Amino acid sequence: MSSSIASSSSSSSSSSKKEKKISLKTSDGEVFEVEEPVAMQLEIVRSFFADNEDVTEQTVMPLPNVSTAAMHGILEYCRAHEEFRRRMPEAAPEEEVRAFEAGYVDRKSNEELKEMILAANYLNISKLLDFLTGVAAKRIENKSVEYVRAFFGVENDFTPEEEANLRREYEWAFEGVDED
Amino acid sequence: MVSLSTNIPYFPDTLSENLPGDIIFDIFSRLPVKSLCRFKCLSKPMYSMLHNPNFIKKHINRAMMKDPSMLLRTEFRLYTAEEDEKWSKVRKLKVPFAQSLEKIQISGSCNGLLCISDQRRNEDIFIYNPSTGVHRKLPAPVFDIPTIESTCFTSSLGFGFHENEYKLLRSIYLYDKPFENIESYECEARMYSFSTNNWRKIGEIPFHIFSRAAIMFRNNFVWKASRGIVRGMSVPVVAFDLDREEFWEVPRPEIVNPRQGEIEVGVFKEHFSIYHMWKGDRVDIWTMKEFGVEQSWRKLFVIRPKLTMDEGFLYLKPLLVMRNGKILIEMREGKLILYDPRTKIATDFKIRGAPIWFQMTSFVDSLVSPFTTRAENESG
Repeated sequence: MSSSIASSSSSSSSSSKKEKKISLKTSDGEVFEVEEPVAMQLEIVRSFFADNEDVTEQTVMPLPNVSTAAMHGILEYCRAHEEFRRRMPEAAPEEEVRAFEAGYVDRKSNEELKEMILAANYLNISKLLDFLTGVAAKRIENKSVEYVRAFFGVENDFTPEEEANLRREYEWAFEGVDED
Repeated sequence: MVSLSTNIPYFPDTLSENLPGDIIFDIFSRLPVKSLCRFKCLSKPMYSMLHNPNFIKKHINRAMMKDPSMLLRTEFRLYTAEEDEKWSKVRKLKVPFAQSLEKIQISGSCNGLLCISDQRRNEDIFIYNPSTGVHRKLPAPVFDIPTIESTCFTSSLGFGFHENEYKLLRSIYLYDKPFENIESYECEARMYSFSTNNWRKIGEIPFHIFSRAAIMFRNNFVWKASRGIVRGMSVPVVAFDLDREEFWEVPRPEIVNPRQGEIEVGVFKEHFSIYHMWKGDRVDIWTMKEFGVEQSWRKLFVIRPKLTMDEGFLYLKPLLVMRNGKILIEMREGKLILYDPRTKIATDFKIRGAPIWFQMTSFVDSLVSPFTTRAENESG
């Protein structure tokens, strides 16, 4: 009951304007029609529309650093959070948010995750970026040095002897590592 | 929450082929120290990032927002338990200096560093980071009053972070007049500072402090002390103000029937607190809203768990409040319970792989080094 009252009051202004949409164009040319409150979670979009007086509702904003695939992931996250906010404007339903986020990220490969981190960084969505970097940290926490080198594309510039010395010095840190 | 876009020092994008340096910095600042020690051999640029003071500072700030790690102490060994869902990451620590100690004593825990001394002598004092294993032996203090082996003395320590450096206070009492009032014993206190590397004389202590380790609260070391002898003995709470360099007595709340059970000093939800532990299953938590102001004492609440287990114990000793609001309580050595103040239900707190008997001290999992005089973790 309380959630329906909250959503009707908070959406009354936007529904009177027939839910304004914002057009965003990804690097591979696809145009996304995004509901305004969702698009405004993208800080780069919000400031584009706030700072440019000559943009209209018809303006298509190009996002040359974001692929269509990453855009789908970004919008899924932002729409879910907009929905949580609409239903419970005071406090997000923590359990539900956690369940959504866990399911959301389980479906993402490491490559997709990195692509989304780059997109979230470029679009300046601090909440999503904070969440995704936390996920990346969890994914590498118990992994081997070789796995993490491959994950981030790190070039090993230690000599074999230097690396062997470091491994000896921190021998205990190599115990209980997950298989790659 | 810490925003990613502010206050991030510049890190080169050469750290990784596919992500910018400030994102790598952010991801790694979330990892436990064990992972970071392993990842020191990723590459030279990664190695230097992990030793960068800004990184160490960011890392400890994040670690302080999590539940602390736990150090489990048996008489001769130390173990750590790190937070995961089951508290199952128990690791026996190789502590090279422990062999020179008769009985390991934890005399303080501050910003990821522990102060470790000998329970019997307190001659050798080490500052130790249990996450990295790095330790430092402090020079032995020289006291004016005799501390030769034939004299009997006790000592207490305070270890904390003050004015951008670590400080250690050591006080000793000489027991040469066994049947007289303890206040007539000779005593002396000295303060060690990391930047000067010496022990400076503070003077006499107008109290008899008998707990070995102080807690640190708002630029004060605080201990339990004692006054009077045998039957007339009372337990004042004594503080040393690091700004004024003075000892003072913290006024106590009016505890009804204080002879029942024991008291312990602590910090509860950011307030200075006294736990009044009744014999049996009751603890009253008193907090001082304004530190030092007697009228600001409030009895916050009473811990009285519905215990389903039949355990032999003297009293319940609160150890720390977890981030979910539950209180970790020691029933007896090696036996911990987790108490939910909302439901008043206590559940067994099991650490998988822990020794049967232990005492627990909490610490922050950090890269801070005991050799850094100006610590990386000043707030901000």
